[in-house]
Amino acid sequence: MTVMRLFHTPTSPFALKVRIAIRERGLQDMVREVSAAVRTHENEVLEHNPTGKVPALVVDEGRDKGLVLLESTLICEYLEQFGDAPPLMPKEGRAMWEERALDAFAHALMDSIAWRLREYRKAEADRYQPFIDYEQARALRCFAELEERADELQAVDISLGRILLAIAGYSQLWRFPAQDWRAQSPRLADWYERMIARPSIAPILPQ
Amino acid sequence: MPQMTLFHSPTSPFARKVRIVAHERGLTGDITEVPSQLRTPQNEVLAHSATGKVPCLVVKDGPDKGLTMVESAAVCEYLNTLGDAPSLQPAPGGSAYWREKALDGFAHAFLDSIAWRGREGRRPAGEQSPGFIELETERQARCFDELEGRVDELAAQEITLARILTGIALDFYDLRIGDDWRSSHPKLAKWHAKMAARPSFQATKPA
Repeated sequence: MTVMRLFHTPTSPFALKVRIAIRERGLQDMVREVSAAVRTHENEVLEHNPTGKVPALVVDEGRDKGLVLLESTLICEYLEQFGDAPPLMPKEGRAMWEERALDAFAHALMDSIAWRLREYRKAEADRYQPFIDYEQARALRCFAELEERADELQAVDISLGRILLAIAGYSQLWRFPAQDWRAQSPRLADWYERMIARPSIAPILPQ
Repeated sequence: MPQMTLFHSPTSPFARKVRIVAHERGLTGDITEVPSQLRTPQNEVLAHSATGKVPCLVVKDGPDKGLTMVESAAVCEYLNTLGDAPSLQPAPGGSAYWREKALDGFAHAFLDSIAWRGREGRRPAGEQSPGFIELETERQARCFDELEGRVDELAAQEITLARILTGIALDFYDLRIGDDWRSSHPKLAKWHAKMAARPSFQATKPA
């Protein structure tokens, strides 16, 4: 029974985080995924929200009918109340805040990769090289910190922050193949390869 | 009450959300605010998080000692659990909570758009992308109209995390973009004036 729609684009990393969470928690029948033409005037999200951003979750039935949620972490938090699979975020205590902190770290890393990509895609004359250089250094610094934290990552099978970190690792390799972070971060690379092989992740990684 | 360090920059609107929450909840005496030299090698955040981003909260003692969090939404929710001031959001789980979160996600997307456009507009003239600025300008025009239509909903509660962020976004628009939105959105202008006059907003106003 479909009661919600998730507007996404196949390449949006933050939408991908929600789509992986949906698969991990077995909610595919409740949430219909709709691909949106973002950054055009035909963008279907505009009917529901003037920001036009994806991911956007629209609730079509039930108590929260009409609710429109943006921001991947909020959407995933909303979805946690459905289904009976194990939660992707601890519900209380220090573990909950450590997970929020990891998710926020992954968000900052993913933002940095996405900003840099957007800059690359501009006409060459419009590109701002100091910005690209700064964001590249930031991303590589983050991968180096994560290598130090590989034990912490491995200590939990899967969580929201871990999903987004795997997406960030993939995005860096997919969009900037010349900068392969795996060479400097072998333990993180081991963890990453196991993550992206999961049935919830491998089939929907953009190519 | 744990002692905490908050890394910020005086003009960062997302850091300002955290500083206003600290003020509203009476936590300013427990938080040392450290202005950071963002985008330089001297950035003080780098000793704690490879992201180098503000806001960054570091907990110095108590049961959460060592907790290090970036991203304003996560940090504000953490601060909202400390002390005994009234909560800045409805109790988790109910309809009112999700409406609050929908507004917070919306305000976040609106403010992101203003920050992107402001950053692009401050670059050297030859390195700005007119197409990008136009798209963000259209997005913001839609957001202003949406907020004008929802002023009654905004005014229905005195202050929440999402209302703080909406007030900050409008302030930041004045700071970075500076054109007139008030004459075409009079109800929103009135709501904003009340919010901006709060002591917490006055105490954190960028110079």
